[in-house]
Amino acid sequence: MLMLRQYWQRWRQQQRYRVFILPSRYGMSYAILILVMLLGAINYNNSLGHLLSFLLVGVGHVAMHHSYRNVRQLDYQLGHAEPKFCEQNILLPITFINQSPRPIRQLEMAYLASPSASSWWPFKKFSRYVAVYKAALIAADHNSLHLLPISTKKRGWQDLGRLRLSSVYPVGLLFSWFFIDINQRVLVYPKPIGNKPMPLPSAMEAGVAFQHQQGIDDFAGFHRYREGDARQHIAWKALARDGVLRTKQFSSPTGQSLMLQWQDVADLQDTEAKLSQLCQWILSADAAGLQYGLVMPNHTIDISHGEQHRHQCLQALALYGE
Amino acid sequence: MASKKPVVAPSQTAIHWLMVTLTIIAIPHFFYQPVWVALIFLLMMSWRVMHSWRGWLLPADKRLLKVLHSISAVLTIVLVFYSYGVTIGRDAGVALLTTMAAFKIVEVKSLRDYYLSCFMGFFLVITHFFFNQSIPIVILMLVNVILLTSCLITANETDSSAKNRVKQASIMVLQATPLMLLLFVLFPRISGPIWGLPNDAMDIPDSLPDTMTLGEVPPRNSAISGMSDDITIGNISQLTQSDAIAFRVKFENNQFPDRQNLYWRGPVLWHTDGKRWLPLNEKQKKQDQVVQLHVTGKPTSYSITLEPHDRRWLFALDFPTTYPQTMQTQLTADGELNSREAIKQRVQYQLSSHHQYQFNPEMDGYLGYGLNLPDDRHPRSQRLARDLVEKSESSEAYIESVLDYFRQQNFSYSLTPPALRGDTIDQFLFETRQGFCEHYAASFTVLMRAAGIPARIVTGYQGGDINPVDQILTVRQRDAHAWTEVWLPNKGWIRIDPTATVSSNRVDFGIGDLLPAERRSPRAIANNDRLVEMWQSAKNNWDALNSAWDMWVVSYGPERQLDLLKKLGMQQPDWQKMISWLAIGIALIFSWIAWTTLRLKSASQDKSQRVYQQFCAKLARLDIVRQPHEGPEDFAHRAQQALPAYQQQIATISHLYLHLRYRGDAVEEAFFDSVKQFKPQL
Repeated sequence: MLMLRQYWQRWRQQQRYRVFILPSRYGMSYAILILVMLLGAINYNNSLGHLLSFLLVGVGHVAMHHSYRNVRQLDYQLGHAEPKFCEQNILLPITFINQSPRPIRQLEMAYLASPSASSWWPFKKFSRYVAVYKAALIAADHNSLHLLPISTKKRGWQDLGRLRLSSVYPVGLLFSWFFIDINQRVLVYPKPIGNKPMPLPSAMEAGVAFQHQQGIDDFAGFHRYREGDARQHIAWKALARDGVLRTKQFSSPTGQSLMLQWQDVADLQDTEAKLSQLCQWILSADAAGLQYGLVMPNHTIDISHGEQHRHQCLQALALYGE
Repeated sequence: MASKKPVVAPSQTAIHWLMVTLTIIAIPHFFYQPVWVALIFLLMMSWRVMHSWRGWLLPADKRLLKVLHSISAVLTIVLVFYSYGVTIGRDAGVALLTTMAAFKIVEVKSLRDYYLSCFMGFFLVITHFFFNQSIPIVILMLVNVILLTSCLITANETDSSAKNRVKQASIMVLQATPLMLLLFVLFPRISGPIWGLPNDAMDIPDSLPDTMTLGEVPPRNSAISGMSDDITIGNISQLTQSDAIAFRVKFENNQFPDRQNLYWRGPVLWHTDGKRWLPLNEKQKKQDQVVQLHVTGKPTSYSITLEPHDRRWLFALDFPTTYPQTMQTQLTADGELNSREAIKQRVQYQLSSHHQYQFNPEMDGYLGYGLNLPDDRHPRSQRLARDLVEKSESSEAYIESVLDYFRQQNFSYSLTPPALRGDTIDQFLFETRQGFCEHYAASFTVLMRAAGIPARIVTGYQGGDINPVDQILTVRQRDAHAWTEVWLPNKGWIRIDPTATVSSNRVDFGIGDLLPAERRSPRAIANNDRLVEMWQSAKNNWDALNSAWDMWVVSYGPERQLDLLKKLGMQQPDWQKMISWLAIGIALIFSWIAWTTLRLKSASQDKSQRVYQQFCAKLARLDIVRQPHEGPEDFAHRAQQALPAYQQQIATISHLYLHLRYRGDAVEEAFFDSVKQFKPQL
């Protein structure tokens, strides 16, 4: 008995999720159909009518197992979603893993943005799920990566909600599903929009010494590619030659740099518009390969460049006021 | 489910499948239904076919077509009412369902319509059983359910081949059969009807008439069909056309009586107008009449499974001495065994009979009826009777002389006698002299009554075929027979079969011997004795199978269920016990199917892969989960970093696994053992 319990607990642990199953609308009608048939068979004392009704009961029962199996054999792996700009879609990578020797069919993924909202009617929440993806087939022993788009409405941290993976395969009489709580929050940058011209870059501020200021003017050699290097500086020709990713370095003795300041957008009334304008300037400066910094009312980010720096600036904008 | 789904249209493939399936299901009904049902059905199917093939518009595409479609559907309903009357019985219901399924298929647009059509298909399948409950129709049912299931699958999935979808459906139906059988045996049966039956709820193909009319030439090849209009009652000879089963008999210990004793009593006929013979009506039956019976010899015990004939009488071997009380059986004073209710479904009853008996030897209240003859009829017969009486010393001698008259005067047995006109008895006795049991029984009775000997006609069956396979005696409608009983003081009613006097074969070998050869075996093989023999043995086996089917499947009802469950070891079966057995059985079947469906998860992988997964699972418990993109080497590397204490073990396991999988130069057992011994802890 103890051993059984241990097995049970171990099995429960291995199950990362619990698959639920309920009859669908058609399944309910099917049940009524069987009931009417059985009543008819009883009324007419028709033995084979009984037999058919019971066969249909059996088919429904088998369908339940098949439907459960189809969803049960699915495993998944959630990736991490990258920050996005407002009104862009967050792309959540999700890998469907089918390690079983059977294909998984007709998988439907639905997304619920705010799982916390409650209702007295348990199925109310169920109906708020929005279908986002349908996979007709995940072949046996195959994985398939899918990028789940999640829309963004406002900047700041966005909590990702809940996924429901479901299927009515094979006969559509039963609906089996399980939930995935994504448990992630994704940063949403402000929308990069605005029509003010970017302030002109200026010479380096005094007091900051640059031994060898990397800039954009004069070619000064290669170094191995590091994450965050501007794409237009990658030495594609060299890559084609020996397969090593290198970045061209330029020296910029004058040190063209740019400090983007909250005051620069002071004439815009709306805070969001200000943030959007700053966001657009940061992107432009980054694309131009400039050095830039950001001065916000509450804190300042020093002049720098690179992916990490860009993210830091955008994050400051995204979380402004929180 | 409450979730709102956008309107999903079923695929064209799915609709085509459904059309084929519904047609296959509907075809058997076309044989029972009027032609217009088939016409409407095929018309609607062709419309949909033309839509797919030539792009014809459907009702949904054009308002005018929609109106036309609805009007014709309403007209069809009117037509059904017009042909069948206002009350919806079995035939009308089936006609309605068949045509409406066809009307529906033309307007299938959404998944909802599609499912509705499939469910109508399931209903059509069950309606087959109102007409026929044979083995082939059950095989057809299985095929139909497989097809309908594959239709449901096709609605949800069209990317695999049709063959695969049918295969999947077959697997599902096959896996469903254990539960079907369990429920069939154990589901507590209630004896219906719950709310009453329509008049045409069942088919009475043929049955023994309750009157007899002499002189009509039996129409050849009269249809033996389910249409109630075609059931012609009134002539025993007509039944010789029919191979339909009247009842089956199982004798206790397979002790078969002699063929000469196989007289199955049915209705007793008393009154005659010279042409028609009728039984006593309710008014003439005297309630205080009792049957007085003196029996000698050993009884024969047997059970009869009677096919429904919608009459009250039960058949019994002449003469029943014990009979069941279950159906409120009653033995009338003229020896008819009657049930209280008309026999509307197959029934089984236990009986025993004595072959040697004296029936009402002292007195019989009905003797007066047994002497009645219509005035001024049969003058030549009356004269013959008077002549013979004068020559005879006793009643017995008179009976013997009448039988001698039949023997000597060139009488012959014929199933196709010449037509009789005018005074049928006189014409038969003095002119045509060809006839079958009805003619002989009637004319003999007339001659008896003319001589003042009480006589009556007993109808029923004579003989039957013993199937050597299951030792069951089958009595068919063609074994219908009529004979005479005469009453003699101190001897009571004595059975005399004048037909046997003329044609001893009728009794010694049964009617089968007198039928044309092609009724016994197909004409094509009639000249080859070995083939005929093989055909006969195949037929015996098939008949035995059918009779077992009829007894154990088709007539499986409350009583049969109790019998069977007792045999299976359930003591004093009641519905509570059935439910608990059922629950256990369902639990077993549930586990079995769960096991078969989920088991395959790892069955196809090879063992080393499985063991490697055990290894991964052990690490996963310590939150070191192998990512899908990670190869065994990368994973081992990461695991070693997380669990420095187990570096060596992890390295060994990964090394062995890689060598096993990709180079095949490692020993499996070493790998299995090292995984088994691997017990990581934080």
